[in-house]
Amino acid sequence: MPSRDNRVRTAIEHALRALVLLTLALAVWISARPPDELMIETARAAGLPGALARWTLAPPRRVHVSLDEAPARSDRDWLRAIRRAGTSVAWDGGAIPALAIEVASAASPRGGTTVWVAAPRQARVAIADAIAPIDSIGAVMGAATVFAPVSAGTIHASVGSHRASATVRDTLAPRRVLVLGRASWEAKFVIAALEETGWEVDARLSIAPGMDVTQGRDRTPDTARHAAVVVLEAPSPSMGAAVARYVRAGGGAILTGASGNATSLADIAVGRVGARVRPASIAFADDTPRQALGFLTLRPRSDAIIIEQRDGRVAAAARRVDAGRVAQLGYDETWRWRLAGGVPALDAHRDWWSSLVSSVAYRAAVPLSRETRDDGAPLARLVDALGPPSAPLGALATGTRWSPSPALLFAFISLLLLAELASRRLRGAP
Amino acid sequence: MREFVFATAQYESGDWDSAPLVPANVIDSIARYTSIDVAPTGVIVALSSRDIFRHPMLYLTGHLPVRFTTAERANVTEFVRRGGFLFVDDHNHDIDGAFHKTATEEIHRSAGPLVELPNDHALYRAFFHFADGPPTTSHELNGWGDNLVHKHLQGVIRDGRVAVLYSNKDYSSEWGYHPDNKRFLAIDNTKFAVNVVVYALTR
Repeated sequence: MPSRDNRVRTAIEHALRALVLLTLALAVWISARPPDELMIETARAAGLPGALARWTLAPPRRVHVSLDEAPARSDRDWLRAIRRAGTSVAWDGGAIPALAIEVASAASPRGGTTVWVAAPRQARVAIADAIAPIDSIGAVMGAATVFAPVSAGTIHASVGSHRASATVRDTLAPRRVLVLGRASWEAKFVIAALEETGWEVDARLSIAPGMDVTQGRDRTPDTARHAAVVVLEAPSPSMGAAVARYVRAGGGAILTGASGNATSLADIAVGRVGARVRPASIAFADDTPRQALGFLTLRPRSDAIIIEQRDGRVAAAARRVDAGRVAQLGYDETWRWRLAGGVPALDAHRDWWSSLVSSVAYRAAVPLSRETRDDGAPLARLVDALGPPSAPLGALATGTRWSPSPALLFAFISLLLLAELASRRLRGAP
Repeated sequence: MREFVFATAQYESGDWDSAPLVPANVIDSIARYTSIDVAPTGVIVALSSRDIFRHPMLYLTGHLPVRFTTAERANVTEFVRRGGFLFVDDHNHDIDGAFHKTATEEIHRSAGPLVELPNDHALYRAFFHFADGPPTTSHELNGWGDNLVHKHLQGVIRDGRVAVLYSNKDYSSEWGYHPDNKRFLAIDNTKFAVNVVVYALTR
């Protein structure tokens, strides 16, 4: 006759077996249960990689990611893949700044890199390359441009701990500059300024009817040879037509003085040239040197961008024409600035002309065989991948669906069976 | 004022105004042969004043020794550095005269060393072609002065351009007559002046 202890143990053993069966039934139910329409799985930035792996193995119907910084490019792509696989992905991240960076080789014989940065207004942006800081910009008014004479590797823009990065992906094949006009001090000193900053210059300067002074080999604009054309005087109809064709094919042109009123350049001109404005003073100030220059006012077209205004009158403007770019200057005696300006005038005049040419120059880019993992605009890319952010989830809506791991269930069942076996062996049952 | 203005440099030592007819004659030749907008009269600018920076080409001549003042020397240095073109002509057409010695010293001191320009230099093809280099002057051919025909001009070269052109061929005498008298010449002897101006305007 079984003792009282054996009866208790037998009851416990039955209970353990029943628990094992219940746990197995639970595991079967968990694996077979349908997705819950109302349940939202959530994750924060720190736990995103683990959540992504879990959501890939058992795709939930809806997920919501709360971010305090932009996710890594791979995580963002993973979220996009999960979204395309059918899971509704929402996110919030009000603390992520709208930061973006773009870099390109400067179209200048001096080389260097132009860095464009977009950041929230008043943000302080630090710019650095792979080796050292390049510059920092305080109180950005939405966007800023920085020129880095030398840079190495990936260039980063940082606002606090948030970072965007970009790498120069091409280099530029050198091209010459063609100067067209007539023999004049402006022609001489524009050519000098460009040559002194490293540009190779072809020139065609008229000096008498049917007679030109020429420099260089190629005196007709061609995107295969010329980065830009500087037109200092109204060209002949045939040359004007060649300049217009060159610009439409992607070339850059700078029209100065009254040249923009030439009939042959009418289609590409930035605007009509108006009356001459005399300077209030011919004394050159170092910080505003062009105030001492007279200029012809411009009446720019509606699609033009105004580059420089003086007393409400447009002195310089630019526009795109098909694949090319045109800048038009009312100034036609910048040589006075170089010759009669203050101590910095010589360098300033050179740099101004060189940067003008760079800004319109035809970019003959040669791609660099370089793979990058840049993330130039993390927030913009996130919106592109997942759509606009949604409101943060409230306390009631948050929470993850209860889903014990299979390993935990297996361990629990193993423990129950071991306990049941031990109980039977201790009481001498088989 | 977008036209070319012929400017004569006035310096304190010597006789800067020894060739008063040259500017009008050169201006006449420029107007006669080219389409360059040229002012009908020249100007005189003090070498020590900031006015020289309004005229990228300066003509300087004389017979007597030249000694620049400190201000003149500083101005010439800055003028050349900024790309100005200084044309200096020895009105004595001799090689060891007082003007030559002192002017070349001053040029060396303020602008740099003078070098001989080859006779196929761009200056001699800037407008008219002078296959043999600088045209000789009647004073050289007549055996006045040092009794030599100077085969070369000299120059201070900056960034591949002639910044200072130095002549001891006495073009100041050669071109020093009223332009109306060109009609009496078989060959206009001021053609080289056009080359000098065109070179200054285009190089």
